[in-house]
This record gives sequence, structure tokens and C-alpha cells, in this order.
Amino acid sequence: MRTLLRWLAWVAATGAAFAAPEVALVRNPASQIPRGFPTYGLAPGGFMEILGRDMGPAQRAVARGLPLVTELAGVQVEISVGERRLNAYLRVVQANRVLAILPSETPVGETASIRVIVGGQASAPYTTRIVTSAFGFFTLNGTGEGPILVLGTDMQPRTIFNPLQPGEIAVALGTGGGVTAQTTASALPSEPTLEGILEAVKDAPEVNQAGLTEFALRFLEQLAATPLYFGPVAPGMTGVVFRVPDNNYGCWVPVQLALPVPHPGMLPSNLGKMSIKRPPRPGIVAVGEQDVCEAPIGDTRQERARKSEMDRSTSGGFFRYFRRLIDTSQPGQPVTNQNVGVASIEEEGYQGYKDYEGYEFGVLVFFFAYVFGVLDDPLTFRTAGDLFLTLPNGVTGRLPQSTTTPGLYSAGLPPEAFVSGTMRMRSTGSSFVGPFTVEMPFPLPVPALPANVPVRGLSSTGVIRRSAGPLEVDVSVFPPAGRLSPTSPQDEHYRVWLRVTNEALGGGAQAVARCPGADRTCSIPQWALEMLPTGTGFLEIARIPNRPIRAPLVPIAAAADASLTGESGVEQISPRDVFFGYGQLLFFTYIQVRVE
Amino acid sequence: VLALLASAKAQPVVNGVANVASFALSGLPHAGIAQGSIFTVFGDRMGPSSLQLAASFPLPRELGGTSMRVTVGGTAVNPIMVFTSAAQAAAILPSNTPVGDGTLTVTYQNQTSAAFPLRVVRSSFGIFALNQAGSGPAIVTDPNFVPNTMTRASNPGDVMILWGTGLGPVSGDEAAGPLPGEQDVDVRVFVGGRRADVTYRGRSGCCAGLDQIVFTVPPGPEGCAVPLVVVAGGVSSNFTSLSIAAGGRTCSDRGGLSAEQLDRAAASGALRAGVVRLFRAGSILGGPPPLPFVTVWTDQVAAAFSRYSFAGLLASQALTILPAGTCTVRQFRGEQVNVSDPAPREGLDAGPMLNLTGPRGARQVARQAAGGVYTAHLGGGGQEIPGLNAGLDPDYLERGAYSINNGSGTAAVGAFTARLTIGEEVNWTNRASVRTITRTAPLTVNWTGGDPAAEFVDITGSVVVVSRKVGATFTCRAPRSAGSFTIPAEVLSSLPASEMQEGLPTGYLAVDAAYLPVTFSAAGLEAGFFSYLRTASLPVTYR
Repeated sequence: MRTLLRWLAWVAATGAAFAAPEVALVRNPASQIPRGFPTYGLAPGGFMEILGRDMGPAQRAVARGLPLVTELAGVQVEISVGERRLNAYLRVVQANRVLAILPSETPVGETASIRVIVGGQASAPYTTRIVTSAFGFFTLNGTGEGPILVLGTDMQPRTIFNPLQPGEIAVALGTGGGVTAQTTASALPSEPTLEGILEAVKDAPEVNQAGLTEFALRFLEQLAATPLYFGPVAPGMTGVVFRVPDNNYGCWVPVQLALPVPHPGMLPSNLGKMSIKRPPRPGIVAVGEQDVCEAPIGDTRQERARKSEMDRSTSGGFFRYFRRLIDTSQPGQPVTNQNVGVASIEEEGYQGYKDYEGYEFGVLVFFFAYVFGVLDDPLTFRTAGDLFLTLPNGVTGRLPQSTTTPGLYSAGLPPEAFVSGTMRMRSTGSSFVGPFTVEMPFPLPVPALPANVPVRGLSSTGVIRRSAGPLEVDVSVFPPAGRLSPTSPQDEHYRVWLRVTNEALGGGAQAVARCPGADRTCSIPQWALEMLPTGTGFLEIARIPNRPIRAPLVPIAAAADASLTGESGVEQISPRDVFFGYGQLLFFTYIQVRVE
Repeated sequence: VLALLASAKAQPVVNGVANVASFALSGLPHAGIAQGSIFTVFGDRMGPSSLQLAASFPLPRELGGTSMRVTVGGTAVNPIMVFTSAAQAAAILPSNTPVGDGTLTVTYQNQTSAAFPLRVVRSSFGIFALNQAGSGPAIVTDPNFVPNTMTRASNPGDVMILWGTGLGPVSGDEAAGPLPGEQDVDVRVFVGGRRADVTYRGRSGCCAGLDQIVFTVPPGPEGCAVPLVVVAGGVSSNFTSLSIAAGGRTCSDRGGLSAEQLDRAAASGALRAGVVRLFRAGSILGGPPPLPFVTVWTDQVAAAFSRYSFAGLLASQALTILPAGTCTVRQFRGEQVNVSDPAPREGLDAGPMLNLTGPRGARQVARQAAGGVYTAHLGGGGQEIPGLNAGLDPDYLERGAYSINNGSGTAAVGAFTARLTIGEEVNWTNRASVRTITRTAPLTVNWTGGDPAAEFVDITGSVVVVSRKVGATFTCRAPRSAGSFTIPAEVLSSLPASEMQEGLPTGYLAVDAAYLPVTFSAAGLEAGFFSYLRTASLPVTYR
């Protein structure tokens, strides 16, 4: 008996010598919404991305073509919902990532579990949620945020360089829409091509027919388009065929697919963006107008788009002057002027920092590079060497550069620096940008911040309840429009930014609303609030000039070009890209909140 | 616990049952076991470790401690043993076994396996093949029992004997000895798609359970691998091939091996050859009809440098070419189409890598671990979708000129350079109307255009029975200039019915331009072929 036990122990030990697969995360690869978020779920027939380790071979194995396979390189993925067990269809397996398709016959369930089985060894079950529909737009940057993957009838992606035209038929691609197709097209084609589908639906009415279509594409808060087709277009893939509305335009028009009325098990999509060209304006003949999008409440990205179209990459410097009031009193309490933020600037020749209290004025400067296709990604910062700033009041100082993020410079400024005049900046240069100087006119005086910004939906204790209706900010209390930028009120807008972090989920989310400068209120709609997890965060309310102050950089030495050799592992940036800069004066306040 | 372990160890295990000639996989249309046919059983612990053969008549019901039992509809019979071993055994299914779904058990040393399902049918003929796997050159002899091979090819008009099993039941004691005589079964023999005159169909005079069909080689397609199939009792057999020459006794394939090369191989006892293929496979991915979405290409290159013994060459399908106007069918295991040549070969080292150049740049093709094989994924995979399939290579095999070389070569395979050009594809004009294929009826496909240098059009179809992980695929070759081809029913009926997977049928059909291989030469090789093959598969329902 002891021999048998030893033998069994040896077998057990032998088995333990092989690492069991570990699953860390299962999500929709398009939306990438993490577990724990209100809109998290996986849908039958959709792709799922499994992240973990020891889940397959070190080298990626890919299953191509049809039919779909349930075993690839010795890897299987098993889904259990109640008593039902199914094998997922595998497309890609690798030690740290498995890409699979949930079979269409997977039952819905709030407590489904997923196991990865490698060579007979199974991971611990990962609990997930199977819902009827959990559509996610694929986005160009592959993160679930930003510009979505949308094709025109010419099968070409529509981007800021090649925006959608109002009225054209387009298809947005995603996954997780569920297994049931919905269409308003009365006669779908027999020829199985997307072109055929588009041909068939192009004359279909946009309105709902016979209750066939439930989902709607919404642009900002408007119900702007009813999909002509919403359903499977390939294994794992969902397509949304729609007619581009003519009541929204811009480089970054937010878009979401959702039911007009929430329905259990039918989750709204991630929020993406589309580029839509401005509709033709009656009586105005565009002369030499490029076929690019135009941001109605724009910033500099249109310019970047134009440049990127030429260069496939872009870069630049951005100078942002701001006036900020930080409320460090109790969360949700009215904003007061009792600010304790520290502002400093390291003056040239001055050893140490000089602090200022009260309103925090500041300057933020950064140099960046974008690579084509990821224009909505966080900036990739690049150092510009030492930067020296001469304020309108004549004070000159060296701007501190972030030690963790070279290329990002910031400093608080003394209030007395904000007088009418000219800011001057000088760079010693780097391998990214040559030495330069820049002069920027500064439109002062800066108006005072309001003492209190009323927010409907925010309790006196700083609580925002997601189900309690929209978060409505009374922006009329801000100083009269037109004070921030040197042109007109139409050149300003409001931004309401709610950012929530949930430590238990290991992340957070944000909702941003932008409103024209002439508006008296600016709101984050309830559907957007309902996409956020619970947690703590902040509410930032800002008035922002639409158009920056442009100030071309002037190279100090002709040798500047020669210094643009690029950094190791960094996209080569052509020299002319770096010779532009923007300045912007922000005006914002900040409230700590808790989202429930 | 030990008693349970010992018990489990001794129990025979049955993994599969098949016609001993066709090896038709369970789930395919010809997988039924015919009354009176020889069938084989695969498994474990079914008999002695070394093979034991029934040496004389009468054949036993138990051999080397192994016996079988087939039960259909409450009737049980004991098959007549032919041979047995631990992993494989064979027996004759008595002609009086009822037709229908049943089970089989194997008993060895008083331990009986679990019941394994099988279907008993009246007729399901299997043709013996030289590769002992049911594919490739058939075992066909002339009246003097000289086998048909590439250097003993038949001429049109020759009378030949085809060997197989599964024509159907006979009367008499099958264990006692041969029971020759014409059988009452409709037998049609197709050689290169032409129906041959059949002068005898029935058991052989030598052996129990073994059938022979005597037929006359019809005029028509010639070559070293002219497809050969038998339809018996309405069921198509496995597809094999016959070597046919217009004159002389050595066959040749246009664009393939010449008669001189084969004669030299016969004289020397071996042939060394290199085969390089550019392969573009396309899947039209989409939702349920009519909503497929896009054709996703996968571009690959594969090369094999091999030394075949002459016997291995005769059994091989790697160097033969399908004649125009004919069709052939292969079966496979797995979740996707996957056919291979089981004939033995010895790999030759052509160098550490091959160098491929084309309009989209240069690629290196790495030598695989063993066997003189080189493969590389060249590109494709569909539209890159960030977050989903990042890292895809762009499509590679597009129109233009391609060349491949092995640098300075090796002692086994000298330096070579091979070139070919890919031109315009054909336009499959009735694609939109082909959504459902009735397997019992012929199907006509039409096309226009195509590269004038591409002499042929290949029509390729396949079905995967995903629930059983088996399938079958056919290829028909037609002159491109014909603009049309009708796929015979005996071809389509060799495929199983398709299933549905994620809203798409698991059946496929493709119509693509096809080129003859381009030959190349290298020191050390008697033959070299460089070819391009494209298959753009449309999901269709086979019912």
C-alpha cells in the first residue's frame, strides 16, 4: 500500500511539474471593457480575448480559414454556463494571449466560467458574464477608445484623412453584437459581398421598419442614425451598416451603439469616434477645400491630421497656459478661492523655488510625436532640452522638465506674470527638436474664476448617482465668453470631464462632454454616466479656447535639421514637423467626487 | 484500486472501423461496412502483439484469442477473422448481417471492448490502393495479374482487373472459401470521368471477401494519375488512380514527370525530385448567407526535396498531375481540409533556406526540422483590425513574377533558380447562384477570363463534418478555355453533407485558374517543379 501511495505521490508530483495555464482577464477585444464595469459582458458569436500566461506556445499559432477549429497547438478553451459546456473556436493562441470566438449557441448567464486547457491541464475557471449583446467597436488604436474602424462603400477605412461624407453608407466593424441580425433593408442581396449588402441597403429608409431594428447609433446625445443592418458579417465579427447623418460633423464625433431604451442583456457599446466631413453650406462654395474633417469645437488635431496625411507621422510642441483653482476642501463642497496649490517657477539664476499662493497660474509645455494610425493615443513625449521662459512681466526662468516624462515641462506662474504682452520661450534643443525660440502673444487680462459652479446631479457631499439623471453643469456662472481667446465667443467651448477610478477593478473610466461656448449648461448624459464604474474621482469644468494661439518656432541654428536624427526606437520625424507650436489658455475648476 | 487498474488495462479498446481497402472515415458517405466485405478495426489491446494471419480455409471466428461480434437490430453475428494484432484486426462481415446501424465489440482473452458504433450497408465498395491508405494508385492488374503502375501503364482498350471489397453480400459459406460469381449489384466504373465497360463484378476466385471488377480502359484522359472510382449500389468508392498511356507502357504527365524520367527511375531504383509550391488559400468570411463579408487570403510557400525509392514513387501522389477533364476526391481527418501523401520518401537537404522574391519583396523560406521540407507563411490573413489580429502581414502572392533559389545549393541539391508568373484570375460567373449543392446531382460552374497562360481551371470543393472532425475534398480540372465544367454526381456524392458553424455552412466551393508547373533543374535532382495554386473558397451548403 505504501508503494502505491508513493507511486501516486510521484504521479502527482510529475503532474505538478508542468505549469498550469493561468487566466488573468477575459474581455471583448474590441471594446476592451474590463470585468466589473456596468457594460462588461461577452456575447455568443463574438470574439473574446483571454490574457494570462502559460496558455499555449511561446510562438503565436494562428488558425486561418474555415471551418473554425476548437483545438489549436494543443490548446482548447472551454465555456461552462450552468450544465452546458462548449468549446470556443480558436483563432490565435500564444502563451499570454488567446483569441477565441464564443459559439453562437452559448447560453446567456451571469456566472459563466471559462477555462483554458493546454495539453490536458486546465486553468482555474474565470467567471464571466454572457449576455445577449455586448457590441464593441474596433478602434484604430486597438484600445477600445478613439476612432473606430469604419469603412465606406469603397471598402476604404474612413479616418480624419478620409472622413465620412454626410449621407453616405458606411459600415462600422466590431464584435459581440450577438447572433441575431437586424435590418431595415427590405431586400438583401444574394451576392455575398459587403458591396452587395451596401448596394441593397443604400436606398433603405433610415427609420425603423416593422420594429426590426432596435439598436441605434447615437452621436453625442442625439439619436442620429438607425442602423440599416446590425448583425454578423463574418465569424466573430459584427457589422453596423448605417447612413452617415448630416446633423453631426467633426474629426472626433463620439459614437455609440445602444438601445434607445436600456434592456437587460443588451449592453451599450464602447464609445468611439468617427470623422465626418462638414455638410456643404448653402451659398458657400468651397474653394480649394481639402477633403478633410473639421472640428466644430476644434483644437489642433485637424492641423495635425493635415500634416499627418503628408508625413504619416506628426510631431510638435504644445504650450498651454492655464489658470486653475483646486478645491482641496471636502469633496463636493462649493469651490472656494481658498486654494493652497503650490505654484513655482525656477528662475534663471535663482537657486530654489519661489512659491505663490492663491490662484494657481501655470504653464504646461510638451513636445510630442504621433505615429499615423494612433492619433488618438496618449502623446509620446520627446524632450526638447532645456526650456527658458520669459514671462510678459519680464521674468525669465527655466521650466522644470518632468524626470519621469522627459518632454513634459510645467510650472506654476506668479499671478503678476499674467499681464498683456508676449511670452518668449527658448530651447537648447535635443535630438528630437533643434534649438529654437518662439514668441506668443498673450491675451490678458485673465478673468476671475467663479466662486461656485452649480452642478445638478452632484450632492453636497460630492456624490454622483449614475441612475439619477444627467450631470448638468451651470456654466453660465463663468465669466463672459470671449475673454479667453482673442477672437469671438464662438471660439470657446466648455468641457465637463468626469473621471472615476475604482481600485478594486484596477482601473477606471471617464466621461467627457464638450459644449459650445454660448451654452448656459453643459451636461454629461445619463447613458454616459451609466457606463462608468463606481469609484472616486474628480469633476473638472473648463472653458477652453477652440483655436490655439499659433506661434511658429524659429530655429536658432541651421544645424537644427541635422540634429533631428531620431531617437533609438522612435519613429523618424521629418524636420519640418517640429517647427510649429500652439499656445492655449485654459480656465478650469476641479471638484472631488464619488460616483455611486 | 489495483484490481480496477488491472481490469482497465486488459480491456480491448476500439477506436475505429473501416473498409479495409478504402479506409473510409466514419462520417463520410462511403463509411458504411458492406455485407460480406472485409473490414478493419483499429484500437488497442485487441490481440497479440505481433500480427497473426488466418492461414487457411475455413477461416476462423476466433484468431489468436481475438473474436468480434456485430449486433444490428437485435441480431448478433460473429465476423470471420482475417488477421489480428494488438492495434489492428480485420474480419469479414458475414453477408447475413442485417443492414442498419449497429455496434461492434472485440473480445481478446475473454476481455470485451465497449460497443463501437458502425453502420452496415448492402454495398460500399473500397478499392485497394498501393499506399495501403485508400488513396493514390489503385491496385489494378492486367489479366496476367501484372499490376498497373506508372511504368506498366494501361492503354485505352486494355482489359484490367480492379481489386477491392464491399460489392455486397453473397450466398454460401464465406468462411469455407472463395465464392466467385457475378453479383447482382449495379456497378459503374469511371476512369477519368469516362464510364468503362464492366465485364465482371463479384468475388475473386482466390479469397474470401475479396472482390474483383473486370473492366476495359476507356479512351479519354491519359496520364500517370487518371482518377478511378467505382459506384456500386449507388455508393461511390474511394477515389484512386490509374496510369494510362496512349502508347507504350510508361505514362507521362504534361507539366509533370516524363516517360523518360520514369524509365530512368525504374532503371536506377529511385528518383530525386524537388517540388516548390506557392499556395494562396482564400476563405470568403461572412455572416449567414447572403451576408458573407470578405475574402481573407493566406499566402504560403512549401517545398519538399525528396528521394523516392521506385516502389515509393509508384505509390506516391506528390509528383502526379490531375489530367484535364477529370476529378478526384480525398478524405481527411481534422477540423480543416488537410490532405497529405502517405507514400514513403527520404528528405534531401537543399540548404538552410530558400530565397523567394516577388513583386512584394524578398522572403526567406526556412528549412524545417527534418525531411527536406521548407515552409513559410508569406502573408495574408485579412484586414488588420487593431486589437484583434495585429501583426498580420500584407497579402503577398499577387500578380507578377516570382523566383526562388537555394543560394549556392548543397551536395544533395545543387544550386537552382525557378521562376513563374501569376496572372489574372478567372471570373466565376455563376457564383451567386451556387448556395446549395445537391450531392446526388451534377453541378455546372461557369467562368470567364483568366490569365491566358493558365491553361486550366481547378474546381475545388470540400466539406468538413466538424462534429466528427473528418471531411472530404474534391478537385476537378478543366480547360480554362472551356468556360464551363459539370462536376459529376459521383464526385459530389463522395462528400458528406455539410453542417452549420457560426451561421456558415462547413462546405466550400472554389473556381480558380490553374497553371501547369514550371520545371527547374538542379544537380542531384532528376526532376524539379515550381507551381502556384490558388483556392478561394465560398461557403456553400452540401445537402
